[in-house]
Amino acid sequence: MPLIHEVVLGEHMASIAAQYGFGGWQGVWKHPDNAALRAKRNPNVLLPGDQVTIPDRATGLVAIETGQMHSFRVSRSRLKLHLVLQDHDGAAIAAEQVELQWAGRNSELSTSDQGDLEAKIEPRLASLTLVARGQATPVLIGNLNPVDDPSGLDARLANLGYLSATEDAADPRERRLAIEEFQLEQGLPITGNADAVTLAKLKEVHGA
Amino acid sequence: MTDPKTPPLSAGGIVSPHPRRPHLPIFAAPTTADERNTVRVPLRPVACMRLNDGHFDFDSSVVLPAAARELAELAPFALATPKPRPAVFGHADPVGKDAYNKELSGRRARSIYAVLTRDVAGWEALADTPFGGDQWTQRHLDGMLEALGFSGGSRVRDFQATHPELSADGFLGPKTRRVLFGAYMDLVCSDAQGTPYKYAPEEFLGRGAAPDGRVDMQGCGELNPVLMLSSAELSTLPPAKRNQENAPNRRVVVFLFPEDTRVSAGTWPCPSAKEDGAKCQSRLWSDAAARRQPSESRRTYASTRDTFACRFYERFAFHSPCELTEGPGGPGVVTFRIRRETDGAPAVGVLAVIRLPDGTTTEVLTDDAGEARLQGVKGETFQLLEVRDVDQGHVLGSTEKEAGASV
Repeated sequence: MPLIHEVVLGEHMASIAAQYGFGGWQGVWKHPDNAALRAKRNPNVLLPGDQVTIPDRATGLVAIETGQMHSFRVSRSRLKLHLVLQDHDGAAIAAEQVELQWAGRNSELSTSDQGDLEAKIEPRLASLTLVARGQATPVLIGNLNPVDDPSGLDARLANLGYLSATEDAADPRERRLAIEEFQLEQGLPITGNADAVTLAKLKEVHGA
Repeated sequence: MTDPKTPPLSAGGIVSPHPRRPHLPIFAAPTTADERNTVRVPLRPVACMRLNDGHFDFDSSVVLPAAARELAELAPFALATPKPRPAVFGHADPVGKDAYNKELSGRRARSIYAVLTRDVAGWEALADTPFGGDQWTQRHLDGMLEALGFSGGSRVRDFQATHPELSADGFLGPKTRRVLFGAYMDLVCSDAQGTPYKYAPEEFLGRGAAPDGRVDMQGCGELNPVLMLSSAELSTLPPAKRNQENAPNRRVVVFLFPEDTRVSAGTWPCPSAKEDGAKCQSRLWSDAAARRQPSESRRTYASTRDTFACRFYERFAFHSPCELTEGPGGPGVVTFRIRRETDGAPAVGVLAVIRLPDGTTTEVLTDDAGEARLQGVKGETFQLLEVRDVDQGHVLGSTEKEAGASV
């Protein structure tokens, strides 16, 4: 019997699939009962409360002959975290030495000429710490909600430096300030409203 | 001679760190395709200084001795390593012509910038190009001499006698004025022990790179009042009273930015303190016209947040203790300094649960100095209910201490 999984904050398809013992997330995502979810969501950007149908795990039977070597290829999820580090004016923070710390590991990396920073991560890694310019900042993986949800709007505006990062919803007046400044810098009509065009642009500039 | 080391009581102003929100995370999406998470270093002040109207002579860019108090409070930031980068913003009140106010606020910003950098030539330029009511007169020079401890009929000669490079002819000519400006700047811009300090132009936000100190100092004119008088007050108050009520708006605010902040003059929207306000237009709020209109009742920035016309400026001001005040007589800031019981060290990044005078409670994170700061608040009794560790959520201490703060 397929299960219904209700998404909580911090989950994405790879973490959900791993939670139910799947090696890859595509099989779960492509289940016919998830068609409606697929139509409205990115598998890496789910909203708490979304419902994901978890199919039964099929037991694969392979008939093989004894006395011979057999190779099996298991498909594993290739999940990454991709950050782009920029200065307040959008200029890339290029060739900067930074550290990523997680689960007792500590990897020293250098950003690319465009400020990119990529790391392979395990599906169920919930957070890591970015140490850049002497400052340690937690990165919560899977916590980015869809842009059309107020929490997703605030998170992108905060990541882009327009809004003070906050644990609660932003002050609506500061959010309006952030939206108008974003609209100005992107050459959009300055309305202060999170209209569809602004949200699409925000998603594009943020990158997810 | 009066004692030169005790300037008169402060005529109002604030120096304060901005509230810091340590440990707040980046919310990120993982990727299986091409999702990215663009993270920008915000352009955000770490501290501010506000010099109220009372620190300048009336309608003038002449800095009065009382400014020494705020400048002494600024000293720890100026002497810190790394040294945060200042940018100066002058403000006028919304009465009178925009162009006049822009110019006067720019002149006050230039005057403070000159003090901070010991740019004596900057003061000479202000003194030699009088503008409207901003005339640097003999009276002002006498005030500076008096603050330095020289009064009476032989004050100029006495001052000259203490400076070997001057001939003691009793004549306050350009050379003596230059030395006087420098000595007076040292007097008002010194630390709590009276040791003068200053900034190099390249230590400012724009690193002194743009002509006319653009980025480093600007006059916002009347665009950003912290108080909008009501329409009734504007139509009925006699001009002198109205002018007095408008005093909180006439101020100079210095924001300090992290030392590694880089600002390019090309993308900085503000005009220099000498230019007109045309460049400001692109950064005004979409509803700036409505914001600049008076309402039936008074509006203050601390309570209604709709008195600034410039959105770019408001990015720095939104969380600034220097702008979330009601002006002289009402600082509107209550600070709880929280120490660990075990060793007395500042409790950094803990959550202080505070009951406000209206009975509601609020939670404030302590900053790097262990201070939890409430801004734009009114009332007298603030109760610290408990202190919690923000990560673990457990109660570190519970108290019913009352702060007899009056705001």
